[in-house]
Amino acid sequence: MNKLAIFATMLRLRIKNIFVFAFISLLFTVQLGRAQNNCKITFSGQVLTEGRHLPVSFATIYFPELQIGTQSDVEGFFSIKLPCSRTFELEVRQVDYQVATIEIKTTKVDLKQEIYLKQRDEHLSTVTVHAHKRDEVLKTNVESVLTSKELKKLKGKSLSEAVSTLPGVYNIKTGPGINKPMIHGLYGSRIQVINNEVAQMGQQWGVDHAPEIDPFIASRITIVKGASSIKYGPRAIGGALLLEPEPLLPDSSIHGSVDLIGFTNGRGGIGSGMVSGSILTTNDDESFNWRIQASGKKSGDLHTADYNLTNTGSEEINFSGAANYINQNFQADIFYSRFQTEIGILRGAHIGNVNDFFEALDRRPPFYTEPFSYEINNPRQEVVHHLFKAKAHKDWEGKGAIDFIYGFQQNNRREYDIRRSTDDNRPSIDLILTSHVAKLHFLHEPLFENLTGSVGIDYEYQNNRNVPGTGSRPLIPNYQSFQTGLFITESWVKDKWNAEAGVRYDRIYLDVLKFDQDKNLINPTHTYGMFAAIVGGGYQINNNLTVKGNLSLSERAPNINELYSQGLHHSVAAIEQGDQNLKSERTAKILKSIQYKFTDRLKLNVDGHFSQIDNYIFLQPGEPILTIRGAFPLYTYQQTKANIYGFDAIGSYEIIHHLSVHSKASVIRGDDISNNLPLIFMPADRWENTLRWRLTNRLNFKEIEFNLSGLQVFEQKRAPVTETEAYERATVPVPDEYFVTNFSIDTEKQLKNAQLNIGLSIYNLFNVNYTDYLNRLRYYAGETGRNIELRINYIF
Amino acid sequence: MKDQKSKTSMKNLMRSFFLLTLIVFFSQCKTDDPEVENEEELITTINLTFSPVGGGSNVVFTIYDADGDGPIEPVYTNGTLAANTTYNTTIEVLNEVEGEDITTEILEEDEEHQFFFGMANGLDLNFAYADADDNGNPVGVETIFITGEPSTGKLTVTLRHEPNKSAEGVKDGIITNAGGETDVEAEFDVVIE
Repeated sequence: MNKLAIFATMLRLRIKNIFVFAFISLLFTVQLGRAQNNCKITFSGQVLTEGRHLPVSFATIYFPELQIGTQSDVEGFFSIKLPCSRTFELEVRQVDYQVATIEIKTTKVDLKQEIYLKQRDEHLSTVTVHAHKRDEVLKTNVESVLTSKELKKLKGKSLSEAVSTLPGVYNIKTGPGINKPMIHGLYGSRIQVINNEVAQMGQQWGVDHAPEIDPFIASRITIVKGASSIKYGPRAIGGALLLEPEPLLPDSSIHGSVDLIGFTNGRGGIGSGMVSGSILTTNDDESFNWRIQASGKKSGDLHTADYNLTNTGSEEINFSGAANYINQNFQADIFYSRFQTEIGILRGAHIGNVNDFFEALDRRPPFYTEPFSYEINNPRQEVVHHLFKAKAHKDWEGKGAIDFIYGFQQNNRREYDIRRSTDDNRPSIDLILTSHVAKLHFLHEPLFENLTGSVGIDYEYQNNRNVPGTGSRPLIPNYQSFQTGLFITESWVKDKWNAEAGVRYDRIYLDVLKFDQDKNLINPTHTYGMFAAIVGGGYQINNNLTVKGNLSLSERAPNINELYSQGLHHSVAAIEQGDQNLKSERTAKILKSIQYKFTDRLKLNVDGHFSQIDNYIFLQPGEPILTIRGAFPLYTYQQTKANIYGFDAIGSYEIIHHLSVHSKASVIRGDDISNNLPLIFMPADRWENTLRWRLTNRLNFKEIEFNLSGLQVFEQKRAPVTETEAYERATVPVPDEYFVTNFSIDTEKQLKNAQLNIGLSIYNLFNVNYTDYLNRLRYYAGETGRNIELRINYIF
Repeated sequence: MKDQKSKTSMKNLMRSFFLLTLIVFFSQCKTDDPEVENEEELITTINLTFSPVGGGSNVVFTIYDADGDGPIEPVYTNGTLAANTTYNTTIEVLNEVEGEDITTEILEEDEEHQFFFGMANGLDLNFAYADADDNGNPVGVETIFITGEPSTGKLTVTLRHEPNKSAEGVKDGIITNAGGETDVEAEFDVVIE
């Protein structure tokens, strides 16, 4: 202990000396630099660790273009001669740290710069390798990632809006405030959202139920496009969305960030703050780390290009806390988050019957349009979501690692409708979903050199309760469900090849309590077995071409709403009816991905997918039924054989240095094979092009990036007519194609021990009036008009 | 020495952590039996009573829908009106499942409600509102109907919630610009003899 204290003091003294030395050497080098005449300058500085700012000795400083390099000395100092007035790529390597690639721009004067290296995951915890490793997605699966850098530009958008910037991911809206992600045409109960390693347990079945997650918690979002049931359970039949917070690692000083966002459309603002720190013990491998975070949002009515969208304001307030203990081969984590939101739903979208629907259809601006207001009235939604997570991780050297994760969640959703009596402020839907999730996973160390894999058992318990006193018949009944799953996956990696395979089996028991037509309490139960398997492989043909693909089978039991929903949906003037006799859905999906680098400047990535779904569950619109309120189409849950296929392509081309074009296209087709019809609610084809101009080390900014993008969405010509025939009066039009332009500037500025990022975005630059097929309120109003957003992000 | 200590505290931490997990895990309670939710928004019945001015027997038109928005279709009781007669007409809105008179509820919030009457297929029938809310706008619970020559056709009675009563034509009973949600829409077959 004493030794350590002495070492620390020595270190402190040494750092002091270093600064004096650095200052003197800087003076000298500037002097020397002036004396040069063949125009070479001295580039010097010090290599330091990120966070603690300790010197990094013997780091390689290498300029690949010039093929010259040097090494940092014991104190991390280095110095090298470089040609004047040019820009170079610099690679800094040290075995214990992550490689840093930095751009260096020389002028005619000497340059001095500090270089910060991030510690390698492996180093920080020599044995806790897996603790800090993110949950690895299957190797042959196709995934798209939003990194913290990309997320910075998307701050202020909802989770679903942010992920829908990735190819193959779409955003389903219920008016401007409610956003829900869709992957390759599937959504809701077919997508598993994993928040901080815990399966999100909300009322996911509802098209108008957005994921109850604060997007500010995530520092990385991954979309897994393949069937990922093997890893994430039967609900991931259509894909998964993984949110990961910043890893909580030892850090000698307090760090944090502040975000402030203001936007014109809605006259709203968002604020977020985060602070983290550590308590380090004298034992080098041991630390207690903590983080607290909070965010809030307030927005008034949004508006389209031409009119105000009355009652579309929203409010959100969230906070979370995380703490962990890390030592040599063990890590324990706890995490708690509370999410709360209140969202107004367009007043003009609440209608009584089919006649009202057709009246509203032609009405622009919609009925009830009033001037801008921050007020949120009925119809509206209020959601509170609690998540508590505890995790323990243990490493066994030479054997592997074991993880135990437990998650408790409570989701309270209240939906307030327009009632006959205006004073009546009781929710018409009041649901509390309580859930427990437990996972025990074992990851084994490589066997036979190249074979790694994991086995695990997952358990899920859900209890859904209708809170009495709503004065309306529950849309879904009370139920309990118990689900247990076992899986094993193995992958083999050798040189340019990799192959993997996995199997999983889940069993779910559903215990429902409800009233039948005659108000007798009945207790139907269901048991379903669900099997999933995957085989896949990848091959890197050469440095420029990589091919991978997989074939997966998975099953999904019908969800509670598909079995039992019963009721009137005011926003679509339709009655929905479940079917207790539905069978499990069975999907076979083939996924193929090709990455090709033509040159350093031209890159292309194409992902193709084809799935055949047996017993695909969908809502079939039928003949209208008559009630005292008028006529309504009756939507019933039915099953069919369906094919969904398409491709996503991304390409980029660097026109000149730092000026590039990025192109993204997504095409998807859905066929109802049994009825020989197109599938309902499939996204229209889209193509987005972005012109990007990046400036580095200019005007005192480390980076300035300009993006001008144009999104073309085509008309959905394959919308089934049955959707509109159900209303038996006139056909309901499908939105026209549209083109929206967005512009943004993002800057990054390095301050002393801090970073400042300022961004400005203009969405819908030309204030275009349009409607989107995936917006369920498209019948009543257009999409939002121009929005100017200013984002300030300060990291210290 | 310190190492030792931290290891034991770690063990304690772990122990309490697992204990906590187990407590939460096994304390999952059995679901309570759900309570029957009374459909308070339910409207089962509309009675439209025509009383001839100057005496005579009342004519009552009724629509009855046992389950409101449910699958059971509504049942109509239609009537016959006399030609060239003036009627005082009243509407009664009921929830017969709960034994509730919703008419009073409508009259309590009369600014938020209005009945509309539409005549189609050559029915020779005219109406005028005979009541008003606090703002002097019609409600339609009480109306005057005047029959013309013998004819048959449809009389559509619509109850709108939160209509825009100041929109053009709404005061005169024209539904086009009214907006609001339809709470009731009944199509009676009327015979004028």
